[in-house]
Amino acid sequence: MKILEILNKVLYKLHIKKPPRPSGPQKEMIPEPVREILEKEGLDTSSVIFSIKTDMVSAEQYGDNLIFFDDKGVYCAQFREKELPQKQKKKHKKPDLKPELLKIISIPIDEIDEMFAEQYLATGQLTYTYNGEYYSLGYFSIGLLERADNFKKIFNAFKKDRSHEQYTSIDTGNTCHKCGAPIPKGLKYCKDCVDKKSTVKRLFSFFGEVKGKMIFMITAVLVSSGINIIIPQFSTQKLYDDVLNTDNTLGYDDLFKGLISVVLTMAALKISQQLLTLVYQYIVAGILPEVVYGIKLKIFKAMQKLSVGFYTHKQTGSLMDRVTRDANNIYWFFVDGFPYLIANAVTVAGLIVIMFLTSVKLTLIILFATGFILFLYPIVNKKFRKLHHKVWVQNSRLTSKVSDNINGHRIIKAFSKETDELSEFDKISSGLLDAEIKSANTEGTVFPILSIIIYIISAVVLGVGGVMAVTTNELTIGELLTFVVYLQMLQAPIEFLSWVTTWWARCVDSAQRVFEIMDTEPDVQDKENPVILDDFKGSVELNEIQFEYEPAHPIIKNLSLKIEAGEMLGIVGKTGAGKTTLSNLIARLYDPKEGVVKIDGLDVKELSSKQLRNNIGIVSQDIFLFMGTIADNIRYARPDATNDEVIAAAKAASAHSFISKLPDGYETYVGSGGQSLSGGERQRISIARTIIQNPKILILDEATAAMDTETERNIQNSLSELKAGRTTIAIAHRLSTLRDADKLAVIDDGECIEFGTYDELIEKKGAYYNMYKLQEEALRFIGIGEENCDDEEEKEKEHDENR
Amino acid sequence: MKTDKLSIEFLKPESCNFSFNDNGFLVMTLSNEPIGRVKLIRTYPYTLTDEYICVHNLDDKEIGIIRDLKQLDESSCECAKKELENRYYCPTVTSIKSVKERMGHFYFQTIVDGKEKNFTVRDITRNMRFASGDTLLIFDMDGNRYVIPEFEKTEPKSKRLLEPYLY
Repeated sequence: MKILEILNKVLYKLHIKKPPRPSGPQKEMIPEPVREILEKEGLDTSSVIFSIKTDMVSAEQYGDNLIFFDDKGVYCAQFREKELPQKQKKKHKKPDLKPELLKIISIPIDEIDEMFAEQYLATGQLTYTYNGEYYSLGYFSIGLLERADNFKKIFNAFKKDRSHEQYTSIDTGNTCHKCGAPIPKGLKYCKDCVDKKSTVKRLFSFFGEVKGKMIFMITAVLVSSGINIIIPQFSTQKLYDDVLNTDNTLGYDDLFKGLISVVLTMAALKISQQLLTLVYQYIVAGILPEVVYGIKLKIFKAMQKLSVGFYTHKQTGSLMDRVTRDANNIYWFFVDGFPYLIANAVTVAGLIVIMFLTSVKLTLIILFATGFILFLYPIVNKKFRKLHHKVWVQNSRLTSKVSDNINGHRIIKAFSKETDELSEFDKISSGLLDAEIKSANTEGTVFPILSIIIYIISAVVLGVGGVMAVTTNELTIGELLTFVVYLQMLQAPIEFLSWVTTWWARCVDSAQRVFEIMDTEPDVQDKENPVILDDFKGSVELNEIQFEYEPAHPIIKNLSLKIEAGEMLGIVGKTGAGKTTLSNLIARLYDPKEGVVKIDGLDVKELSSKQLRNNIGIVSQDIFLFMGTIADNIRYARPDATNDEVIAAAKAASAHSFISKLPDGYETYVGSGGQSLSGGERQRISIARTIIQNPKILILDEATAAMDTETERNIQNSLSELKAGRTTIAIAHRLSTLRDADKLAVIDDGECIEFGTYDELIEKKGAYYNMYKLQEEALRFIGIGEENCDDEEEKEKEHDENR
Repeated sequence: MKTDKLSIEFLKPESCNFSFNDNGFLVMTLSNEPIGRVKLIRTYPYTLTDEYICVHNLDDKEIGIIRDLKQLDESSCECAKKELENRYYCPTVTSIKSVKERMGHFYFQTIVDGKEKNFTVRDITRNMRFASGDTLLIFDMDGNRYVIPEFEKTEPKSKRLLEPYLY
């Protein structure tokens, strides 16, 4: 070990190996050089609780700022990085920088009431209040918002009751897992540490199971390429020099024998080469679909493990790309690229060797010319890549336009916008036309020019070789002609090798994206040995829950609720108040940022997700039916449900009557490309799906919002039966839906502003009462729902009488 | 439906007064009544930067809309413009030195507001797009936003480096 350390030190000294950088955001609360400067200024940095390095010194100016606090105050130190003089200026070497303190501001902790992280367009500002007045602490670019928000939380928690420890472990700094250098969010390694080799190694590991076949295939490719190289030796050199040479003094029979021998050898070689090509193509065709099937399966399996948050942050299109396009990129490289890469590399190497053996002079001329072509091809390829990309982009725009038009056809017709749509389509279409014409014109010009260059080289070779053959007898005519054939044979492999690197890079990129999904750790994970409850009762408790999808935008703020097993809780509130988020947290689709969600007295993080979700049924406002029959959709949660149970569930969800009227009944195909159903019908199927699941906790998130009053009433009756013996959490805008609730919670801006029974809330005459009155008036005004109002009125009268 | 029914009521410019308090925050008085700290919001941030400006209080409730900042008195107009500049400040990329692709990530070496700045962009066709007219927006992996206000007028090398990834 000691020797290794010494060796490493030597390697660092010689700049052969980089010394490891300290990793982890907490390790360096105050960077060492800064600490020295601050201590010189008389600041004790030993008890710093938290710090943040920001990148702006004013609203519109970049600069280095360090904001930190201890139990006495908050400090803002502004720095400038000064370049140190170097003994020798080395190219590409980053200059040594030394921080220089510009100014330092300290604010006593008692003069700060609360801290805030404000968000602007591309920047943010840390501010604080004191006696109702706002003060600025410093600006930062928007990428640091999460860190600034965390700093604010830690400070406020410290200020409130010294409860900041719960936050300080949050890792908000992004550092390379390998070297500790700062990196963008979402990356594990910095670009210097991304191990391209390991990606390639992993890529080839997909072929591990078919190793034997791969070796056989590569051997076949090598032999086939070898034969290809020696064919001209017979087809040209031997034919010209031994048979067609006019200087030959052999008799007719010998010449004929020679000709037959050349023709038979050529035929035998060509047939063997074709057979070998057939063999390797057959093997490739067998191996690759199997490997690609494996890759797609692995991506899909990895995606199933990921938490909801991952899907929310990634666009569906980009995820679909990974399963299809990226897997296909890998597929096509290995089908169309890899075998030919070996074949062409072997061909080029073999041809050059043979050409050298034939004539060193001519080969050198050719190599010089080849070098020129190799220099030319990447430039041409780059140009074509740009042109092809433009065509691709214009094509995508056109596809999006067509898709937009088809999806929005009703609106287009309703607003009579067909002509405008047509002219916009025409505009995009002509953009595509221009791009395609430009690409075709360039291709039509550049390739003939390249061919002309190659023909010129051939002519030069032929000329120089001819002179050599005639004047110095260095070459026979056969050797010269073989040379020209070899030169032509070089063209295709060189062209291939010049752009295969781009193809390979695309394949590695795709592989990297595929591995990113496979390596992503789900945000919501089971513990190693999760608790499995013997008797899942279904009581739910939320303790001081805080949650946000985006930093500094809290959706749920310090919310606490308790529902006993078997009770029904109604949640009401404005759109965007955080009601659906609450149901997502109970089902552990997300974990709260702070606070605990308890089921049967246990933190949901302790429970098995499988058991938890088997016992929680969600009827959501986003109705999704999978591709398949109605019966398949109803028995989605329990595939072993009998036909009787499917019909019973559909009846309970008031879906049976419309399903039985469909020509294909329960075997009607729904989902993408299937029978179109109305919103209400789809919702009833989704309710039946939850009914068959038989969950202990039922979450109804605006379950009946898309239905008419009568259907809603029918479903409510069915759900009333279903609710028996289960904990029900019903989220609704229509208060009539919640008339059976044991408890009601009014959520506003992420907080529970009222909680209690119907009677208690009406008596309180607060937010619930106001909402109830507003809805009552609205329903009376439009002349519907009087029945509902009467119900509510009766309830209110009953309540008044009780009082 | 008659379009005149769609007319909106703007804040009366003569009743609005904006100024910066001692701590550098924008405060407002409306009809001589102090409102306190306010936020200004551009409704057309790229095309009409000083028109249709929403005024919100710190609870994000709208106080009203100013039709055009020019209608305000000179001092208020200046303060409002300064506040909007700060709030809508977006680092301007003046020059692109290089764009290198590695493993699906694009590493940009740029000059932003006169200083060298390096950043990384993923999914480049989605994260580099035109906002309105000739304004090009670039979003890096950390969520930072950069702008090239007049792409057509930018230096030829920068244009050449970016063009392959643009519509």
